Amino acid sequence: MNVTINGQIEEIPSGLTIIGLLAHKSVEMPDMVSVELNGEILDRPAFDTTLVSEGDSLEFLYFMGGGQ
Amino acid sequence: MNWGFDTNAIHAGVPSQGDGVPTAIPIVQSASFSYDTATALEDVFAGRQRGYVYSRISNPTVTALEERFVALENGRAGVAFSSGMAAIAATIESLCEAGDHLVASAGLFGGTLALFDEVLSRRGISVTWVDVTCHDDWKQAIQPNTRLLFVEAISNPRLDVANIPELAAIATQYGVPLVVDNTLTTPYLGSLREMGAHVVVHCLGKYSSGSGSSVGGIAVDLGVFDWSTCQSKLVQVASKRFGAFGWVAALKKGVATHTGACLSPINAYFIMMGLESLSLRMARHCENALVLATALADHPLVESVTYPGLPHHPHRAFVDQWYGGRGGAIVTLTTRSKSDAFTWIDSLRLIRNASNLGDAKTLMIHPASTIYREASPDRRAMAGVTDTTLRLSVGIETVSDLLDDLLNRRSV
Repeated sequence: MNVTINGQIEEIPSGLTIIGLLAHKSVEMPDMVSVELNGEILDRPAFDTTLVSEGDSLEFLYFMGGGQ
Repeated sequence: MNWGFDTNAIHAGVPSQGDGVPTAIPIVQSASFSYDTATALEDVFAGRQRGYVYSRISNPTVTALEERFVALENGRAGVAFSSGMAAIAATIESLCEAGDHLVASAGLFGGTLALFDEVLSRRGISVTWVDVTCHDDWKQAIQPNTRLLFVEAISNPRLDVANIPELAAIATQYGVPLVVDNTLTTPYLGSLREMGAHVVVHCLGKYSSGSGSSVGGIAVDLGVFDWSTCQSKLVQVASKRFGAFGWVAALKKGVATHTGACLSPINAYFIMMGLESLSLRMARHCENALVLATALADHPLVESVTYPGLPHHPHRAFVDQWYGGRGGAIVTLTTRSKSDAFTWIDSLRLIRNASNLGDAKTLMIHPASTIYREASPDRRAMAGVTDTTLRLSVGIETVSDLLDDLLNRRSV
């Protein structure tokens, strides 16, 4: 299925949770990444249970923005 | 990487793989960092990509120091600052806002005392001072708006040794973090994480640098506290986004980036070089301090000697249990009069009269007329500072030369 990640349309497997998507994308230092799902900040505990859906727009954001 | 303490002190934070890589951390003395495209720079500013844009926010040399120091403390993450005081101020700022309250041990370093008394009060943050050894007083001082407990692992210059496990248990019971200034003990003497502390702050210009060359500070999350339960508003917001990294995110993104007390790359370099020999120097510091503390008890100008490594120090059992019997390298002396204290300082030829500690060079100072000059009489009393107090920061010179100088029996 297709989703938008940091402004880029990408094809990903179905059935991934947010934490699964971070792993699938091999995101560096995933513990330090926050996720916006369709413009809303996702609480950290929801990473394990929230499923990514077709057409979702996601932003992966490091808190060390501008550094590291 | 699961390295030992000394290996981390030498290797953590510096990439070692690849051909032709430098073995010392490069000093990236650049204010800004450029990108080929506007999109690439936008992505880093937005946090979509990791990278550096401006050294007030982050710098590769400073990052290397942060990684090395976090490894030494076995912590989760940390943020470096331009000084130890900046690290303390930012830590408080990340946890408190106007109307909040903290509990602190009486007898803190004069600079911290002034920060709490003069700056925090102007910001509407109140402080209750308690004796570090009266644990019931800590409990009674905690209020609904208390956001942290603050203590020095070994206080300067009173040399009280805080029972960190007891205080950490109290902090945990009341759902607030215990912040510990670990400057005098350093991570070498003992693991504050194992003791249960939540956050440590350091002045890196002391034993970490070791040469008295640089000023710097750091605040480290030891990975023990559950930040999702923290009542501090800034941390609550950050914890929702960054989970276990909530406090560090609040400190970095909510305070440090905007207040700008950043560590310079060259100071980060000097401190990293110092850390490589931290174990060797601290062992010698402590050995020399014990020799001098023992010998100075018989000095004609000395009325009393305080050193946590001495057998009669009231907290010696804790020093044995958690610091391997090593009492640090500060010795506090009481003379018969201020005149005697000044005469003694003036007679020294090797030992320097200077306001620093943790230097390889031995330093002596009269705190009442210097560090505590502007402190009120009750604040001086709280810190155990009188006109007859001298603070000796014991260096790593040949100890017999130090003794000769202190006993005025040499020709140095």
